[in-house]
Amino acid sequence: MDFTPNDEQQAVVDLAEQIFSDVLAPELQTERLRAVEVDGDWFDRDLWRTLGEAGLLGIALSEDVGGAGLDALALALLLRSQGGHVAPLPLLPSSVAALVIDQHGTDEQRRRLLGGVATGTTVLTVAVQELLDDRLDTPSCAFTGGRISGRKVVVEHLSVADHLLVTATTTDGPRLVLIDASAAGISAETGPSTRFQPLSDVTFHEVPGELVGGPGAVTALLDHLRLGICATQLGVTERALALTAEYTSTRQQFGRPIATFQAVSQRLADQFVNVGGIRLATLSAAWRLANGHDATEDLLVAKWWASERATDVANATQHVHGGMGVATDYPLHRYTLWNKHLTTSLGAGNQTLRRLGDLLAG
Amino acid sequence: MPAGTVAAMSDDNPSTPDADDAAFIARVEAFHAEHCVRIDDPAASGPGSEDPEGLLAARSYQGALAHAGLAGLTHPVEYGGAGLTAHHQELFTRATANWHRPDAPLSISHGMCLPMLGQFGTHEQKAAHLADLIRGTTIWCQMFSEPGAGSDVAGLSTRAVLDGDEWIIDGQKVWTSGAHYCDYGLVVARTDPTLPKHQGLSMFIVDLSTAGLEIRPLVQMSGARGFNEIFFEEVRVPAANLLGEVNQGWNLAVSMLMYERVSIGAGGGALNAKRHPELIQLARDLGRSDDPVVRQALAALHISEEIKGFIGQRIRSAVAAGRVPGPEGSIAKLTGALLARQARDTAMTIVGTAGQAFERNAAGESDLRSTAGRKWSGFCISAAGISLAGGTDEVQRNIIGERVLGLPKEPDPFKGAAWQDVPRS
Repeated sequence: MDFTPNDEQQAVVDLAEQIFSDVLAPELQTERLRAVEVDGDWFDRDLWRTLGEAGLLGIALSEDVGGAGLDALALALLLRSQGGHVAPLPLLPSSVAALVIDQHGTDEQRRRLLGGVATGTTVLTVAVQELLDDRLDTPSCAFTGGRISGRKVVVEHLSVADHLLVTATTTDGPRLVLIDASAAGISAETGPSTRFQPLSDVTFHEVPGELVGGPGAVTALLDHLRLGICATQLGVTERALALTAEYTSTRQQFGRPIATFQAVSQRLADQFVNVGGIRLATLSAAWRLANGHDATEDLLVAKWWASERATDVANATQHVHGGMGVATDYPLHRYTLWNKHLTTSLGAGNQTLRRLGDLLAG
Repeated sequence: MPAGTVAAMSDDNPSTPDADDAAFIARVEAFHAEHCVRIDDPAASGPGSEDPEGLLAARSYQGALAHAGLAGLTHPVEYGGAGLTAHHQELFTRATANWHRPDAPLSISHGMCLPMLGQFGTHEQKAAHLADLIRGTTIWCQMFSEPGAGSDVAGLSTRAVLDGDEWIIDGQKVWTSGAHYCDYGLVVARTDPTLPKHQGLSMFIVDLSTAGLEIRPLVQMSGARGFNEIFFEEVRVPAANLLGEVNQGWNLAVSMLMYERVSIGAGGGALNAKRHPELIQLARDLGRSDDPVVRQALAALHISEEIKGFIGQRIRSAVAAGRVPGPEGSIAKLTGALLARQARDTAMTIVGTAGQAFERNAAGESDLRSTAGRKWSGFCISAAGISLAGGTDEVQRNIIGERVLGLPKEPDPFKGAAWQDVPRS
């Protein structure tokens, strides 16, 4: 295993950082993000277009469909940059759904769907979480006779998506079903999440759809989603800690920077270790996924650390900022809200431990 | 204060209620049965909101309480109080522990400003303000923190200069809870910058409608607008509004902070209501009460709430015995802050992914889940604030270390220096 980015991966990081830093520079960030949130759909279209023009939206897709031909590790590095800049984009679900279609879909599906994803004209999202149910790999949504019925909750980006990739149960077991977002039979109730993002409670009533891949596709989708969540969380926690180091080094009380109080510096040192754990566990799992190894167990390890320990990071960075941490004019609060959102995505620590326990102890 | 103060704190349990006590408790119970719901009632909307509806509910409750002779229990009848004792206050707190009291918007007004006016106010000040304050006709806030004075609140910069029979106040306060709906505030300002920082402060009663005073709300990440920035530009305050003596403001501020800490950590009302009954109900409603992890988290929360209850009871019995709260307020406040985080984590363990949803309109089963998610989601992102308000956890730990355990103080290179000679950002 070698987690050092190779030249191609480093080029992705550099390009992404350049774009995100230009558009969401500290002095622009608050105003720009607020405008996108007030606009209502949590989608920075200009930034999306720029990423598409730079070739980053198809970073992990095959070259024959217009992608850059890199792998899940490169996608993880891109998502880490997004998290570091808390950029409101459908990058995670759209890229992961496209990658799974690329790997498991038919040639016809790949050609029909993925070119638009790579340029940014097509947006995909996923619907995997069900009401009061943590068993993501045994969905209650049913797909029979080419039609899907059932219900999914906390679906992101519904209003901007062209297609949804939905987990459903068929007579042959769990499968992925692709549906058109404008198809008849879809109804949704949408409300804001704690990170200001619209989340939808979606009901499907005999919505026409098509299968994508076989039995392995569901695991592939859940694995890559977990990777994407951990990678985004990595960027979020790294940047939150950097902001905090800067703030505590300049904020003075009792005639000296507050970072010189041991209660502050030691707590932040613990967070450095926590973030380091997220980084190593995430990159390790990404490397396994990208190289075709089974990574489900590693991803659960990473997801637990990126949930529980990321919560510690949020608590600590928030706390030592005092009141500044909750003020919406200062950037830190977004990192805390993203952190919380990612922590509970696809199940928080408790659900992750249960799933990992099942894998380990049978 | 010497080491061993903890051991010297009162362990007296409130005595067994006698017949008079029983009659008083019955009055309190009857009043709340008429005006409130139980905390585990689905109609209890959790810690009181500060929107217009929540304020109206708080004022209406407090007005009715005053009408029934159950408000301002320990304050003299001539100032609008009930003329009873701290013992009655304790009986009231215990009798109302399981009722949802909609008075959270009044917690600073009654938990901090009222005891300060009662303890330090002149007859004229009390005659002018106490009755309205007690029945909720006026609401008061506390103006301590400044952009440059958080944990180091004694280093604050807002100036007050005497001009004839008025003080002129210039400066800025921040994180002032509730100022946007308050009528008066207690402000600490620097009256002598040539003295060491603790010695040149004074406290004033300020009418928030005074010319030159501007209140700007701050939006928090929870979406709430509970805090404000307050700008003072040549705000003229009558000399008669000085509370206590000139340059004795730090002593008053310490008293007020201890009232605050006791109020946060050991007071009655929504802030200190036990959360585990609601969370047990939530786990049942969501079908998660059989999950052993959830059950253990609930049991652990119950234990922590019992311990905090004992700490609160001990402090209140000390207050009931006539003692002014000392550093034990820090113990209660720290315990309350840690408990809030534990309750938050327990709640998020139960609601899981639903904790992402903030507001939805679905009906039926989903409404249950989304409402629960919204409520506890909001609690989740505001719980951390309890570790900041009224002095951070670190400030409380320092107070416990130095004033209770008797550990040596951290060396202060600026000890004894004039405030104006100490660097600050």
